[in-house]
Amino acid sequence: MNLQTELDREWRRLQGVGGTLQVSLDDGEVRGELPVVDRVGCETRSLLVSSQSLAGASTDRLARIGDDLAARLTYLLEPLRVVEVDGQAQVVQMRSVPPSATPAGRSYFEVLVRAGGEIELVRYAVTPGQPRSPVPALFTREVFFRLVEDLVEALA
Amino acid sequence: MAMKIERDQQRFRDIVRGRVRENLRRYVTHGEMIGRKGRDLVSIPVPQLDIPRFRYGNKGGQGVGQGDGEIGQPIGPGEGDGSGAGPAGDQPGAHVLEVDITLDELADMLGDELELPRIEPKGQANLTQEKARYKSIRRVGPESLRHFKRTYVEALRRQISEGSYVSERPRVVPIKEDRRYRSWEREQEPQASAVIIYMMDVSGSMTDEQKQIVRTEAFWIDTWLRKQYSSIERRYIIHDAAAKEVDEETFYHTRESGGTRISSAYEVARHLVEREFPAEVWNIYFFQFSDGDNWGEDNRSALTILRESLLPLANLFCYGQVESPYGSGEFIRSLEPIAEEHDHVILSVIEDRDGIYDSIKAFLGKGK
Repeated sequence: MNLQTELDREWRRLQGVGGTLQVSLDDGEVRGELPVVDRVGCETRSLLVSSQSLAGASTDRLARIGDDLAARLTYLLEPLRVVEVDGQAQVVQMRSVPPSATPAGRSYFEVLVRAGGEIELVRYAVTPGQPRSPVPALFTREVFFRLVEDLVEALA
Repeated sequence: MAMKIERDQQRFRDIVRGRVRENLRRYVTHGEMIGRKGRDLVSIPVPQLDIPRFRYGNKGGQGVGQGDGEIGQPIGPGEGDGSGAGPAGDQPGAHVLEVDITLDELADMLGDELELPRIEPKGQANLTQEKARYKSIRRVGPESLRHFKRTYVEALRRQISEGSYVSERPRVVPIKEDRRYRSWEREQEPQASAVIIYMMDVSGSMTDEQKQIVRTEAFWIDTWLRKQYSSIERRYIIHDAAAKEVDEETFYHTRESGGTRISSAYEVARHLVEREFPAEVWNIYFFQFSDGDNWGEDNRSALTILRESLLPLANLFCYGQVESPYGSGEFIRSLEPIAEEHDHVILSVIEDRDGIYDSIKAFLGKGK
């Protein structure tokens, strides 16, 4: 089934109520925690794309996926970059470089690419002196759909 | 009695020290202002300091003590209206003077400012050091070490015994046999030695700004501990997912892209201490800096090594969590229960440069 159509169906289901967006892929799934969804956009607490194609992938392969994502995700208003590559845990960590700064503090995207076959995106906010905390990221409908497609393609 | 110029010089030094003390928080926070000059000296820019200088009278021949007038008559201002040509300047004056002070003096100032207690080294009588002290007198020696007072006493004694000393016309002329010279004796004295082991996370999430904060803090820690111990060794360990011992230059200028595994640094520190610094002989200080973003399940192994291998050996274990643009990680929370159990474990969150001052105070304030 077409990813765009599936996303559109889930979006209409969640519109006005929010909840968990779930779309099955050929060898995985897309899962998003969207507490608020309306006609124009959504709040995204987390977005996870999983695929069995990455099972047993090498650290180099994960790093290449990270670089590929950094090149694709240019529309989030914050450039993403691979920050750490952990060969032992087989995880690539990407973050907004630099993070967005406001008088209230800073916020940034964090994307983890895991060898088990997952890409997870979360937005964090930082208030000086406080531990960082996850916050909902705001996307328009179009940006959200494009983001999901790019994550799925990066895993393919 | 001190000559006048020495008194003035001493007074000037006191003014400089006072000015440095007043601005010490700024120097602590901005370590880059302090330049090293050799082993024991640093140069510090001291703003708005009046340098002593000669003052000339307005006109030649009409200064103090000259011209007409009675003794005790007050001296009035000179002639003329004082107005000069040209407009006033529009730039602030630059009166920054670089003064040299010793690291010892700087450590004293730091200790006074932060009210740091002196460190009591733990029992370290095993190590001794040979020191030369000038505490005896000999008949031969280089002229530069001639003891003038002893030489004249000897000459006086000789002249009295010879009957050539006339008290009405006291004149003492030393001859070669009267000369006495300072000489040294070698003594063994107990030596308190300390090793500072710095550990720093150089993973991709640690920025240059954070490393500069660590560098500044390490400078002040070194300065204080050097003052407390007769000999200090410093060792540096960097880590991302793996750790290694490096030199100081590499320590501050390395950036890795690996993940963060603090246990790897603790493991290297443990081997280093076991190999080179037995705890019965050395006072061991661990200073660790990280943004606190430790990966995965590593906290458990890190804390096990810390509890079982490092803390029993350490005088002090200090962990500074330096906040990055991405905030502060969770590692410090894992250390909190350990810090509650052990009073020689000190934790500090360093939000930015302004946090260095309080962090140093927390680390060194226990006198351990």
